[in-house]
Amino acid sequence: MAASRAHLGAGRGGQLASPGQRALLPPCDSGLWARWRLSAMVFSNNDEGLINRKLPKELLLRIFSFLDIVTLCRCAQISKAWNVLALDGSNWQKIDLFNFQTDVEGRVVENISKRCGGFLRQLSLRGCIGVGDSSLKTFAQNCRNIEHLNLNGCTKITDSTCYSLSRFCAKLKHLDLTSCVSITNSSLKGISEGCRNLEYLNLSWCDQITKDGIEALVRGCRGLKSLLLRGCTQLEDEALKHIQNYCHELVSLNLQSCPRITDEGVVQICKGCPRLQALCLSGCGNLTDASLSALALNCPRLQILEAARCSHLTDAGFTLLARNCHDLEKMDLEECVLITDSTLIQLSIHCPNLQALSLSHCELITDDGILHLSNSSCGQERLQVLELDNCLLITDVALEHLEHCQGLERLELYDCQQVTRAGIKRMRAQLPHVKVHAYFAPVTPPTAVGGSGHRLCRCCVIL
Amino acid sequence: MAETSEEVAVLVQRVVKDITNAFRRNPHIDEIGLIPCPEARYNRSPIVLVENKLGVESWCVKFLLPYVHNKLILYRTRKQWLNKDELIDVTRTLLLLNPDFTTAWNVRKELILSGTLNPIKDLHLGKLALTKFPKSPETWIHRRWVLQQLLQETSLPSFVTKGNLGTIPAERTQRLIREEMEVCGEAAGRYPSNYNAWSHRIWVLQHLAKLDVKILLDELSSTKHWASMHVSDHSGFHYRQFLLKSLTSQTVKDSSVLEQNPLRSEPALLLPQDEAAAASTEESRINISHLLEEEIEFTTDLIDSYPGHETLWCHRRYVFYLQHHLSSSFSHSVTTLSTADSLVGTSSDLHHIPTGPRTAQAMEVDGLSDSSKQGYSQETKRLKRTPAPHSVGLEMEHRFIDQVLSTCRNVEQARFANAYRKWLGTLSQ
Repeated sequence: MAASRAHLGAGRGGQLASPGQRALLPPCDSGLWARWRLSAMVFSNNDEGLINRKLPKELLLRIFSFLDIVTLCRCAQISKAWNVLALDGSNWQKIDLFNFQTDVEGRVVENISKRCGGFLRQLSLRGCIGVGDSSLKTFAQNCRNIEHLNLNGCTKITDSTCYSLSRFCAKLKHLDLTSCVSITNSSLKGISEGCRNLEYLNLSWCDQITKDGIEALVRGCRGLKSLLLRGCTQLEDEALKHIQNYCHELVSLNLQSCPRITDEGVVQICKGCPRLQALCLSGCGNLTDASLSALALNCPRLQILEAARCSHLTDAGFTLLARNCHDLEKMDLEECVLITDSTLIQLSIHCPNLQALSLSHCELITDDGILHLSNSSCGQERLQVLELDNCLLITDVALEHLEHCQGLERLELYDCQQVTRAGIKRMRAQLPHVKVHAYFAPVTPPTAVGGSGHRLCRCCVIL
Repeated sequence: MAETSEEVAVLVQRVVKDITNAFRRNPHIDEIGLIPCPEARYNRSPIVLVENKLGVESWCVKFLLPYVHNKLILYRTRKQWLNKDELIDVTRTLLLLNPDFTTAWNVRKELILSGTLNPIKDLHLGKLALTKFPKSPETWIHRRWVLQQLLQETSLPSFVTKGNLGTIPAERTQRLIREEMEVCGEAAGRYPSNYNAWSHRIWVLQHLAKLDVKILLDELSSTKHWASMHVSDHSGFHYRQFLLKSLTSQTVKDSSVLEQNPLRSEPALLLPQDEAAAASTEESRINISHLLEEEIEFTTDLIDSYPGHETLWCHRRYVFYLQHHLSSSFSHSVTTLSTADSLVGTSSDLHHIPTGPRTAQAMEVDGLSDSSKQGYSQETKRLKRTPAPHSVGLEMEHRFIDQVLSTCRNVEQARFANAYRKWLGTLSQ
């Protein structure tokens, strides 16, 4: 009973006290609307929903805290009591408009910001491409306590938005500006002045950013813990030098696809950021073992290292790394083509926490390296994901070794042409829970892909 | 082994990644194709990259296409988010398999408009898609949109700051035009009478090249060989007709402006074109009759060599028609005219657009440019006309027909020749 009452907001006419009531009510008609509200109040006196009588306000609020904003708005129309509860500030701390995306015009953001005011802590406008600077200015003025703001994909916004945030939102801790391609260094200058509590900043694909912006940013935001600069193609080592000088709290740094970065920059980062736990350097093709040495010597807490397509890295660098960074959990070494079984041996010995390891396209790896990995302590218990696709020397023998890896959940074997169906079958007999991925095609295509039931239009038929 | 739908999803994601990697490894891929391969017997990628050709084994298509199609629809209906790289990969995979999927092109349009995707990439993708689907209408339509964007691009601030405008706009436009001509040429070769490719080519000349005379002349000479190798490709010949018509109407327009301003000396003329063109109109006016003569000779050659192709006869009609009226218009300033005679069946308003081919005495500029749009069938509907002063040309044509009829053994050829003669008859009424 109580549960069904709690869904009162879900329908248009609402499921009110009795089924008979329901038939009377199109709430869009204002005359009937007034009558309905009156009768709702009358009913709430005599036949108040059980939920209102039995549960204290605090628990009702807690139930409401799980509802999305559409449902909340509907609940607010049910009764005076519910209106107060639904519009209580505690329910409006966290809003996600992702499901509305293109419907979200500036007006919507402005209305929400006025509704929530100082209560709003967390807002996601991911994908809302219609949102622009002026509505975000209104937002910033109204919601000065905002801490977590996601503007991923809001491609219309410019530096002006960041100035607004800087002026009004000093409490901002988490800001995501992914794909906001009009953002320039000026934004970062603004942010560094006004948002000094910033801990997380995502500037992925904001490719107008240069070292000057970074310098301005880090001078003001010294508490930065996570900085994502994927696809900021203009960044050079000098930008990293600034990070070295100011961001001593940095825990996570993403420099994926910043092709101008060299060892010098990475060395500087390592020296300045000893707390570094996660580092992504994938696509920075100029890096050599010197970067790995710097990591080894300065960042003992390193847990995640992504170095895909850094093809100059060798066993020497990884050996040093393994010997010093015992907390390593995830490593992506795709296309680090020079590494051999020796790296695997070192990792097996020194990194007991290794959970996920990608060796895609590491063509020198052999069954022997896998043997060592499987027999190590991380191999037997911790290893969950292993990617050996395009490791051409791997054979069914490696699969036999891997049968000891009790924790293994996923194994990639694409293009390992010496691996056979029989070998995989044998392995899966020992490890029934493991998902083994290879190109041996499925027998029949599934009838419904992704469960959405979408039918293909005729033009999409091939042959 | 993939058996559940989840496993299929993983396999497909891997294949999409393989395609992305193929493009990364070789940015000069210039052709795509399907490799008939009913099942995956080996643990080997279905994406095959050999030299500059990208092949997709057919066994994976039935998994790949529904999955990426679905993924894009989910993104569009806001049920799932895709970041920039994912969007680019998914749409590229989709469009290489089915370039008529408009939604995918539209997603890319959005990426271009927001500045996250370089329009040149779409030209490259379209070019690739056209190697397998040379007629695909959506690809051509999108291509035109991209070219329009590029023309306006100088105003986009983000592209300027990123240094994408490395070259002078004029030079870049030239390069684009050359590239488009090449793409159209290839597509025309892959499918007979590829109307979409040829009309795109015309569009490029109109909008990118702005019907520049030099480019028109270049095109005329460069497509001659192709036309001679594809004697039944009506679209190809139609293109030559368009070129000749444009050259003719530009010439005539210039000459009529010249005539209307007899007091001005030529170099001081304020023509729509620049001064160089003003100087060359004299040239091209002379050359256009020469070009038309050459074209007639060209068709003579082909008709003799390849009997029984209607396209060639239709082409001849058109060219002769242009010739016929061009020579009439040049004699305009010389002969004395009785305007009343000429505008039979229509008002004497000089701006009136005629319904059919006009004789020498009509307002030549209007008559020529409009009548050349009319089909060949209009002639039969006409009323009396004053006699055309150029029966020399007609005589030659009749001699040509006689010669063909006397030597040909092809039934179709005879039929076409007779039809031509009949049509010529209507011309001279």
